[in-house]
Amino acid sequence: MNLLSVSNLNVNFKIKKQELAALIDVSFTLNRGERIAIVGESGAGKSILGFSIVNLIGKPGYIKSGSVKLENKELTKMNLRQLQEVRGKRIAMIFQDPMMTLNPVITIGDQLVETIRSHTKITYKDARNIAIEKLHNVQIASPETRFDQYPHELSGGMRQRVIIASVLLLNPDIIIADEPTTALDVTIQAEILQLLLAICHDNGVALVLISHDLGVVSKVAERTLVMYAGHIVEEGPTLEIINDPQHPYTQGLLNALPQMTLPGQRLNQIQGSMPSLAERPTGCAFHPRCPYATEKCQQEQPSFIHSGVSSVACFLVEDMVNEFANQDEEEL
Amino acid sequence: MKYSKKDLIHPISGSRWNHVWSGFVGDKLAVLALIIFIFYCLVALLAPLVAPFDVNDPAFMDLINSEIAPSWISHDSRFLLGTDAQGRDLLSVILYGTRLSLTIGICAVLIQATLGICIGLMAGYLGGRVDNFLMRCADIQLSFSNMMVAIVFLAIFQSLFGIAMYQQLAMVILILVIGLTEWPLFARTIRASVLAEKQKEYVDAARVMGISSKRIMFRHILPNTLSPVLVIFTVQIANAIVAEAALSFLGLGMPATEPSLGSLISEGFSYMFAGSWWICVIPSVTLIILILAMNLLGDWLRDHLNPRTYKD
Amino acid sequence: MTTPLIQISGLEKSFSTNEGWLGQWRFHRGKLTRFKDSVHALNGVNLTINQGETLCVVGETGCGKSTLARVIMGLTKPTAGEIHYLDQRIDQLNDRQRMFFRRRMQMVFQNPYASLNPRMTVYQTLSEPIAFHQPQLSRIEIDEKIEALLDSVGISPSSSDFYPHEFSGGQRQRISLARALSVEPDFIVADEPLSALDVSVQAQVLNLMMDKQAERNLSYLFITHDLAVVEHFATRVAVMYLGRVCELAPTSELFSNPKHPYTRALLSAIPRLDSTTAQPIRLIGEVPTPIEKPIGCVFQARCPHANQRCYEESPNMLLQSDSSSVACHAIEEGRI
Repeated sequence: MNLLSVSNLNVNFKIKKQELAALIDVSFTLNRGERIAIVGESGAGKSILGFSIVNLIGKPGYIKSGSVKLENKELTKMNLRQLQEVRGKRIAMIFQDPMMTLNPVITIGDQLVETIRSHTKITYKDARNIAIEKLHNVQIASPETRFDQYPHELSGGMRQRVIIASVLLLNPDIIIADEPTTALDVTIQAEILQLLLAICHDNGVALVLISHDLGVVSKVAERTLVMYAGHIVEEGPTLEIINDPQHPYTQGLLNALPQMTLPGQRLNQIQGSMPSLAERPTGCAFHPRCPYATEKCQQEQPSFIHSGVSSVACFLVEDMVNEFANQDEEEL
Repeated sequence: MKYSKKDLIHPISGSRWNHVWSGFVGDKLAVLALIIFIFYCLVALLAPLVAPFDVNDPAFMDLINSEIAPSWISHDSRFLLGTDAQGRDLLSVILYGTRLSLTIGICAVLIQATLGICIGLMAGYLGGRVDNFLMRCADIQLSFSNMMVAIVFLAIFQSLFGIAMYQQLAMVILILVIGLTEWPLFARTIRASVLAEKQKEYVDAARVMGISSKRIMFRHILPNTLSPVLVIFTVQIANAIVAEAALSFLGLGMPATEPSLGSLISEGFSYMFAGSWWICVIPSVTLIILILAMNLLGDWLRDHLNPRTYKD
Repeated sequence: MTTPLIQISGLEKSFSTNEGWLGQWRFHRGKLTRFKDSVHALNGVNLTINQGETLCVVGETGCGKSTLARVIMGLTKPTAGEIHYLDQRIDQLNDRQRMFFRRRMQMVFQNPYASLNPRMTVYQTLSEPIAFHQPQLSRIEIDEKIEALLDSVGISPSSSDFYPHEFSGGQRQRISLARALSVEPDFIVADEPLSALDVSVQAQVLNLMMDKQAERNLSYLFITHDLAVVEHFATRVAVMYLGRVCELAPTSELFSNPKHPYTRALLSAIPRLDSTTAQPIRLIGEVPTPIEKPIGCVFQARCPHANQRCYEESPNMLLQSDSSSVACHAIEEGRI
């Protein structure tokens, strides 16, 4: 059984009597201990997807339809009390800006102890020891000193480690990390990613990494989902997606990276820009920018089909797959 | 190099004032407050046309007509709201009084705002010793109780120059006294906004372009700091009117010949318990409604012009 | 040899962290003594930028790259050192004297949401510098210039009456670039202009910058932390750490043969798509803040190869055989 199963999730935003679709028919699965990445640019909806898994979407957004199942419990139908059992204990979230999660007027040690004691009945001293042990696990030097420090006394990388420590306190099954290293320096980023990998590996925790950085994703995730304008357009093993992207958007995205062009040459840019919530085109969301768009693309939305080890939502790929299938049949 | 048509992306139009306006129209209390305020302003402007009696007419004050109750009690159709102790029609006097109060309030706040904005801009943008000096001046100004300063000043002026001279210059002096004492509020608010805006890159861009400091302060930074000022402006008008009313109540404000709402309340106070309650109560109610409307407007503006709601 | 466009020698910049004059005085061992606390953002930087080239400055937080940009552009005065534009010294000029150079040197900033005045339309933002530096142009000529400028950066000229908040991040960066180009400069300092943008938008803006460089023979000082962009765009690269330049090399040399220990660690830490990079070199400790003025090499605290000399003596930039310069005792002594 899948640990997490999202099917046909639709999230809408109700702004000024208008219904704007932020997520459209999003489906994916996550197994125990698996690491997946959700990749996309700003406005694609990846953060919204992360939030909607734990039903954290606030007004004016709401889950219109679809299901999010943790093992076989339906998360979209839970009330607040049931959700509070799930959040933190079974599904934890790490955000981009650690200062948003840490209370600036409480020492980090006290914040960790508070988390422990709110879920288990133990003394302050025991909780303190557990907290220091966890700080040690996330490779913070001299954790006893750090225990009594305030968030502003720590660097960005350290704060993110403290967040990871606090997330681990409750032994979750899934960690959703929303751009955890974007605000950090490059050398620190590498260490935080290593830490995340080690933790997921040692504790058997599944990871959903939300990022726009394909380099980061390639180091951490086994599978990747590429999002565009609220849809998942491609899904597959990370290496496959990077080496052999099928969807024209993924191809465009990878081609736009400076590594893909000879130094000094113009980069391959994708024309136009991602449409905002209110400006979604009919048919395939990518067709105005797609070099291969046909009339069918303007009118109908493509559905997910398997192409090799990946799944793609694109009529072009669909046609190619059918063509190959027909060819195979003919040969037989 | 020409860019292809697909790259020429058109921006999404829709100014932020649309957002504010639609929020405004949705909030019925704010609309009501604005309507009341506009009504008062119109009345103040058109007082000479609207008032049933001309205040300056010497026949206006006729002791025979003194202390007549409002028309729904006395059934005297000449005086809708009754008359005061000197026989003046209360409605006309209140209309003119509102006019005076509003004029004094708005002019005083204009002085406060101009002074405060200039000082705040300079202190915030130039920083260093200029900032220290100007803010210490503001602190000194704030440490004085404005009422005290006003009372002392007005009393001294009255005794030095005599009542006649005072009565001629009363309005101007009141405007000056109220206007020159409350500038620190504007200065501090603007200074805080300027300090925040100074950090933004568009100020650096203007400096890199070689634009002079003066132009940067007034043309670039000032328009971005005006939102909080608008909030304070409305509330300060209310405060200035109340200050003037208080001073008039104490006998140091507008003279009896050109009564403002405060003077009317002051005058009528002694008649409150003698039975002619309307001489005090009706101007008081007028004043209270005006102040309430302005404060409601100011509150609404404060909630809705918060720049954080416009985070891109 | 042609004169370099910009020459920076021995540049130092410290920011005082005392709270005013009174904050400097403290009781120390019974006596009232004066302490001047400062943050040493730049500790002796030597760089040249030649005409038509792109010098990329890379480094992490606290290395001083943004301060370097601001000092070059005259937004703050350096504490020591000299900056020359062609052959003229520009760091100690007052505002009036600097006006001539303001036109030749422009800047593009990192944050597209704060680099345009929210209360000025695009037209006003662009017309101001043009009218200021070229007052002889008539209104129609200014209009034409703005139209051509907007067209050349890919913004539709009919949207010149819109306010910045109606444009996307990438469009705003383009407008910022148009503003910088409006006075026809020779030199543009770009302080992390792509960091706040999406990948596909980065490609658009970077292409634009490259096109403009080819069109107008611009020189760039490009500050970034994205080494992929550096590899693609830079002629030479300067790696900075704690206010000093550790390594300065032509791009291909830097990437194929990095010498300074910090450069090696930095390059190995970048997650690359081609998973051929080995395990990243782990540096001990966190990125430090430039509070204490360092004695000896700035990198001593985190360097795996530091010896006694590194703690006492600050290394100078030494030219290597492949025209790169490195400031490292270990390299000089042949230890690595």
